[in-house]
Amino acid sequence: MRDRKHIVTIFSLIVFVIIIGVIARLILKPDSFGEHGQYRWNAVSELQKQEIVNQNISTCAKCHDDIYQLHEKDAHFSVPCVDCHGAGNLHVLFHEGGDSAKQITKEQAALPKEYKLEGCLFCHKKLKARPSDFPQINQEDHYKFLNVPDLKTKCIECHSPHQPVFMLTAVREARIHPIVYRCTECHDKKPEQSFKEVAGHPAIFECNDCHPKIVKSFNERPHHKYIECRTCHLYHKENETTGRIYKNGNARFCLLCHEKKPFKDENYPPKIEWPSHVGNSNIITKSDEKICLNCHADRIHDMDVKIRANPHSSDWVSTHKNFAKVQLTVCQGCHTSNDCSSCHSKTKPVSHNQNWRKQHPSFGAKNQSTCEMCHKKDACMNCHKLSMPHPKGFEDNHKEVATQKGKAVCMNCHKEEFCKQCH
Amino acid sequence: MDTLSNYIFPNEFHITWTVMIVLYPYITGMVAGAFIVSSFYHVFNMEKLKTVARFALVSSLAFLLFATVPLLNHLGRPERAFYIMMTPNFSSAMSGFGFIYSFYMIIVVLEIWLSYRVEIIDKYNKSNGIVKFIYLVVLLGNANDNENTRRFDKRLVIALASFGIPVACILHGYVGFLFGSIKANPWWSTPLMFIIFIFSAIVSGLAVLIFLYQFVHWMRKRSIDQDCLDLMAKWLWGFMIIAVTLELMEVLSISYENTERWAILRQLIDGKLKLSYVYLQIGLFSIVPFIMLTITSLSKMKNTKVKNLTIWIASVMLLLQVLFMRWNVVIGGQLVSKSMRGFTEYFPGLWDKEGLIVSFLIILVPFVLLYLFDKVFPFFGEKSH
Amino acid sequence: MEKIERRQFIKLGLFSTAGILVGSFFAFAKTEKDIEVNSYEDLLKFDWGYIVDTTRCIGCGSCVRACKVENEVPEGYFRTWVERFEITKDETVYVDSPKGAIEGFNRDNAQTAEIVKAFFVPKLCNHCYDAPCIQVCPVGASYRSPDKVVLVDKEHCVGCGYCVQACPYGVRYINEEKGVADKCTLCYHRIQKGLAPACVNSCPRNARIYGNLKDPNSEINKVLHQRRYGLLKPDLGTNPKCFYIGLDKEVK
Repeated sequence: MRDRKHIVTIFSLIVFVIIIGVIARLILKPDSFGEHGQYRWNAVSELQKQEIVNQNISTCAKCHDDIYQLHEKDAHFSVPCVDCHGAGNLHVLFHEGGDSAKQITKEQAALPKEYKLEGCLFCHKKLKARPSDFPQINQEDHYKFLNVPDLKTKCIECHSPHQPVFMLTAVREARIHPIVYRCTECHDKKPEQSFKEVAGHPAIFECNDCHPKIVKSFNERPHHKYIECRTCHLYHKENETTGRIYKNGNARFCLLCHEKKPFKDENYPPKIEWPSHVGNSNIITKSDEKICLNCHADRIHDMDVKIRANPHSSDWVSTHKNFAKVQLTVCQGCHTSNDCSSCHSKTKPVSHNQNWRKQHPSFGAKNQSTCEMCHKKDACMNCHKLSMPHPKGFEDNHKEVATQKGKAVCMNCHKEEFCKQCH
Repeated sequence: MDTLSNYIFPNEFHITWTVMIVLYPYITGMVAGAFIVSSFYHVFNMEKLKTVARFALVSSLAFLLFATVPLLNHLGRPERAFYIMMTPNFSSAMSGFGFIYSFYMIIVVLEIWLSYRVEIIDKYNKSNGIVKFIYLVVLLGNANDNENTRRFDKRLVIALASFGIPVACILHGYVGFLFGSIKANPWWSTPLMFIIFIFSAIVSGLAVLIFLYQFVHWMRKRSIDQDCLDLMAKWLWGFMIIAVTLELMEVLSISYENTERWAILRQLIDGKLKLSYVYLQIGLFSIVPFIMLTITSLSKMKNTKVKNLTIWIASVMLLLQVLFMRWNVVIGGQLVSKSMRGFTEYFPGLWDKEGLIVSFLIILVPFVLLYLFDKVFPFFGEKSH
Repeated sequence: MEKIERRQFIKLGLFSTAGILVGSFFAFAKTEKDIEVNSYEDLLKFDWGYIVDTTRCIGCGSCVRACKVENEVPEGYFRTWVERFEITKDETVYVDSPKGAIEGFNRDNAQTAEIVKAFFVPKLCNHCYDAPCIQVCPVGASYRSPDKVVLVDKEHCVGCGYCVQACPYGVRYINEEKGVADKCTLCYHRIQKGLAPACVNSCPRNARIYGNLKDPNSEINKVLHQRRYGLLKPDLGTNPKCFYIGLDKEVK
């Protein structure tokens, strides 16, 4: 036994060291380790204490509501403030005041107001990898097209970053637009609270809500029975709440329905031959894509366009001769040869028969412009000595006219009994 | 699929495990290898190895003491190193490190203490004053030495040695497992890694013993125990064949499976690792020593000087082979981007915290330690001539 | 008599040792202040998930910039980044992510060949259900919070870098200044207060969506029920929780 003593000693030493180790582990092990798994539970709360740096758009809106309102309603609605203006934590702390604000200088609190050119190009530089429907430019081409010689010109010279779409020229057809739904599609019952601020509600409207005049005029015209707004104003959904609307007035679009084709119904909707409808198609210039609207705009709805209801210019009487010499077929698209002969035949028009003297007042009242094709505007004055037909309110002041110009003027058309009906 | 773009993830520009992690398995490899050699003598009674048995054991300890140094130098927070034993997460292969390492340390120290006990008692009896006290502390206050104690000690040493072999395999095999179990890395992820590491550990352990044994004897102009050296050289030859075959089998099976990862690994072997893997690890440092050891093992060379020199050069080359193997595994695996599309760059700086000079020092220190130990307890007997 | 004294002596020794041990335990034990925090039971109601809509990403890099300032991500490392894939007519795949796209993308990467398909893919931590990084952390510094976010305990991490090796997505890095592993926390401090993570907050195209997967009416579940999505490296069995809409096979 005595001879094994050293072995017993060294093994007890080892056991002692192990015990010391176990005790040391108990003491030095971090407090919350193993409380909810093999990790330090306090680490979770330590992480939660980390400071928030990037500010939310709602924080910015508390003070800058005016800009927020603009921003929310335009194409950049989904671009948060931090993307251009920086994280903004110091800015908020500084302007909130309090103890923490004292350590922040004004310079630190200032946010970049104007964003650099490169800032815009982070998103809008033309790259193959960008989704093709995302607006993007090749800066050189863009500036060349706009005749901007200085390549360092900032984007914000033309585009307001908060309202990028409405700053754009009329050339641009596509614009961001709220999706077209009805309230009832989402709300079974009445909404619990009314949305006083438009921005608070996902942008969901009907056309009529914003464009009542146009919708009203559309409903009075023939097209409304067969098509709806979205037929022409094609809609590209961008996400759950917004999309792009295209003002589609292109001739090719109209022709989808109105061109004569062997496979189409002959009568409905009204068909035309194309391009013989307008004669020589050379007369359509490239910029004249909306050629149909030149004549037919009034068939659709009120339009704020330079398009004329009457296609002919004001000096048409004097110029139509030269046009007809070359493009007679164009004229024939609307007019029959009778129309020419109505003015240009040496004989009187067929309508001007024996009874014409009696009939012409009712015809003239309705088709004044037809008369004016041959007769001058004041032709009525020759006989009637008055502008015909009687202007509005004539009933009230006919006594003065009769005394001034003599009763005989009236007697040209009216008989004595006519006066007696009232007097 | 074309990987022309050479894309790597932006976090991969700096590799995480530097040359320090190359050194760690290199050093533990020598620990495990040397220990196994000493166990051959104790457990399997290979009397021929008696000359190097204790030397192997002590060098095992010397390397073991410094195995953690590169790790600590690499850790971002070395002061927290003991968390690995305080709060181990046993789902991690690495969490066992502290326990296996300590357990192994206890076995090695105990074995050395028991096998040197007689010498220490001898020194204790001869010395005076403070030195005597130090020896007494080392002896744990018990200087009892007789036939009985020696018998008990020998039995215990055999028990410890036989117990130590599996622990040594685990200590080093688990380092291989550390790499082999990383599914994210195509170059590491193979179950063979664990076995390759064990065999290359034995190769490096044998090689370092041959290297040191011959080196010391040449320096001291002493005669070499030829039987012992021949046996070690034969063992080295055998184990290097297994190790290199396994290393090649690993690449062969990956290439034969021809899965997605081979596309990138082929480029790795043919590009970044062409020099260190194909030319050096396989070409120069595997095939050449294999030929040399084949000759010394199979032919009856009369000229022992030439033979010993050949063995010595082969052992040096195999030491380098294992070092390159560690480099190619640890660094090579990290060069491959996890995007499977490109490679990152790495070469250690000279004076960095984890650079070449520091690595060299870390490798050198165990040898210095061995030298000092030899001053107190000469490994190969007192200078007799 | 002698025996009893001896026994008492042993008893006394045992008790006093125990007393010293218990006393020292309390003496050394660190006391930490309790912080107001969502309780464990509260957190269990959440399972944070993430969607990346690759079809909507425009590669502006706002998320990378926002993440950098929010989390003080060191220079040269990224918790989130944006990759660009360009596939040319001859089937060559070009991939790049210059500086993680922190300054966006300047020009097309493939200049010589005609690009037929190209897209951006934002990357971030997948917060896997079976995260290999948590599995391999030797000290339990990488952990899954009760609301299923994969986090790093910076006060406990030893900085061994094993998790960086284990992550198949390359989202982890060693924060050299602090010497610890670092990664996306899903802006844990923000989501706990009901705010969106910095990257989600900064995305101008709503290409990033986050939400509670345990709530059947959350936006993230609605989107997941409507859209087709893919996962990154699903074959590795990490069970990632970051869902990619419109994922291409070239994305790994």
